[in-house]
Amino acid sequence: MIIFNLLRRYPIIPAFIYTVLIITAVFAPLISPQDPYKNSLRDRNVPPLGIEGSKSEYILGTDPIGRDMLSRLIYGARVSAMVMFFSILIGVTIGTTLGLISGYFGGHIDEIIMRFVDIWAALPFIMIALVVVLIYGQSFKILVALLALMSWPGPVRLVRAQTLSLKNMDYIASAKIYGASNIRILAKHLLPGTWNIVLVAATLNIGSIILTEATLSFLGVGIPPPTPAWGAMTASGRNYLNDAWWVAFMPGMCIFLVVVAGNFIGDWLRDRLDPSLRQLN
Amino acid sequence: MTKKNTKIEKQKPILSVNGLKVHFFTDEGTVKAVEGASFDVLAGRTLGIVGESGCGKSVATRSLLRLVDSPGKIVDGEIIYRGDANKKEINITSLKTSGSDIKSIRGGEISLIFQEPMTSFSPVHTVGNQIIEAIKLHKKLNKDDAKGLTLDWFKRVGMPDPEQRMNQYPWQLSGGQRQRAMIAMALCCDPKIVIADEPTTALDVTTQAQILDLLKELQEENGMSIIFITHDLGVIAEISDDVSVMYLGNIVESASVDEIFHSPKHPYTTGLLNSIPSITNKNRERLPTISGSIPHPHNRPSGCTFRNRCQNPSDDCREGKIEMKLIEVSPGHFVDQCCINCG
Repeated sequence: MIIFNLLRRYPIIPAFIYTVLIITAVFAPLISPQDPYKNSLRDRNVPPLGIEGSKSEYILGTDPIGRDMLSRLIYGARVSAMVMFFSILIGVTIGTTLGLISGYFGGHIDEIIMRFVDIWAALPFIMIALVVVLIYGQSFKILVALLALMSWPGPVRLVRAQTLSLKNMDYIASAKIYGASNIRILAKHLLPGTWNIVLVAATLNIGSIILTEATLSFLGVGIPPPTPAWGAMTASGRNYLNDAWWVAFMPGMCIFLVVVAGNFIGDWLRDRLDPSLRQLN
Repeated sequence: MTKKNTKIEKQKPILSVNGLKVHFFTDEGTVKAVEGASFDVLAGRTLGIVGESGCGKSVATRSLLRLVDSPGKIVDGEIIYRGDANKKEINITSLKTSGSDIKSIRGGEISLIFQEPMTSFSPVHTVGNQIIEAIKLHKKLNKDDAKGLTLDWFKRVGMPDPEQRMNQYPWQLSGGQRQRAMIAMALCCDPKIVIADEPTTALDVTTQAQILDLLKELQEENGMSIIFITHDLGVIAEISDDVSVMYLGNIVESASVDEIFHSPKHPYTTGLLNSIPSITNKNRERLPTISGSIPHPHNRPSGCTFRNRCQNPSDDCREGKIEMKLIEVSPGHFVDQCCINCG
């Protein structure tokens, strides 16, 4: 019963998944049992342990050119974590800044920024990503930039709404009276008041970032091969679903777990940080 | 309260507001929040501005600091500030809203005590830090001196455990303590005028009395002028030297506190005074009320704004022919010309 209550109250399982993700990402070279790039055509499509034909050195089996699945998943965690971290950092920074400016200054600036956000949100993102990669080629930096550019409009709206309600507080007028500059008011009085919103927005973005990264890698415009990325690994397994299902299933499962865990943590944070939504104490 | 020399000397007021008009240009139309208000603030005295909710008290006084945000705009009138006898007069309405000129007036010359002490401090910084920052900006002191001065002020406003309170966040303080801290913040830069925008409305009556006493005490020590905004006539009687009664964006009557309470001229003032419950009134009569309700600021009546609620308006007044203008009926007692005889 106690365990059930704890699980209900805190996102223990999602937190565990993220801890594992971060630890594997950081210590990938130490943890992975084999070289993720080393192929051996003699060991093609070896099934995971427990299935007939498995080999003891390949715990989760091998892919169609004989690379160790587990090692590739571990290195893939590194790629996913880095993509996630950098694109959310950039996206949320841009989004928060624009949201603060839009809400605080209002008027024409607000109108321009918000209409721009509307237009941006209507862009067919995957198409643009395909074109950009076509022009500039595949690279980690371009992927991160694309994902960051995809994720900034959400935080703008949220932060703007929060800023609008905060800027009419007396302490903002008070700060003006005592000579605080606009930048100071934005950074010291409004930004701290939007932290909770930003944190929730960032966490809830994790899911869509990872999924989009996977989609792009699946379409072949994500992380350039042979770097192991979960999306690309899923893609490479789709031709072997009949005789080597694990090649697509393992990385797909990883994507699923991380996205679900991200959403759970985001929901939990939202409930915790917004007192009006708090249900359990 | 010891009334300071009730005789009004021929000394120039420290702040004169003449025909101030503040309009809000909204999508639904222009809201004339303040429409030609005039009042004077004398050095070292307390001006009470009284009026019901929405009559423009707060907007009028916030314009003194140029804190009226878009879509609000000062469209007419002047605010003359004579802070220093030697310096020349400053017309606050002609200053830019974000220039260094207005910044030197805000906080340093004129400061503001807010109504709601909960929202007047930023919840993410300690109370002490917010005051220290204000002092640092205005007095060009270093951090330690500013800290010492803040502690001094905390002691002067009667904050219990001043050292400890300085390091606490606003929500850790009680309402009365927060208002004391607010007063410390408003006074720390030695302003000549303090605008108190209903500073006691959010407090219970005992704390209210303490805060009023504190303000009077500090006024005697520092000699600053206070503009006290409230809708509580009891508070006005307690703290003010002069009173201006505001109705729908205009000052309709202005006099010393004794004159207002003992020989009110404007029907609105009379109405307000009559509607105060009296402890001696034994028979269970209904309180007199002012008939009608305030017109919406979108469609103000022309001429005398009070005419549709007045008991016995003159014919000219009823048709809205008489312009609003304050005239002096006895020394220092100004009443809107239309309503001299209807009160």
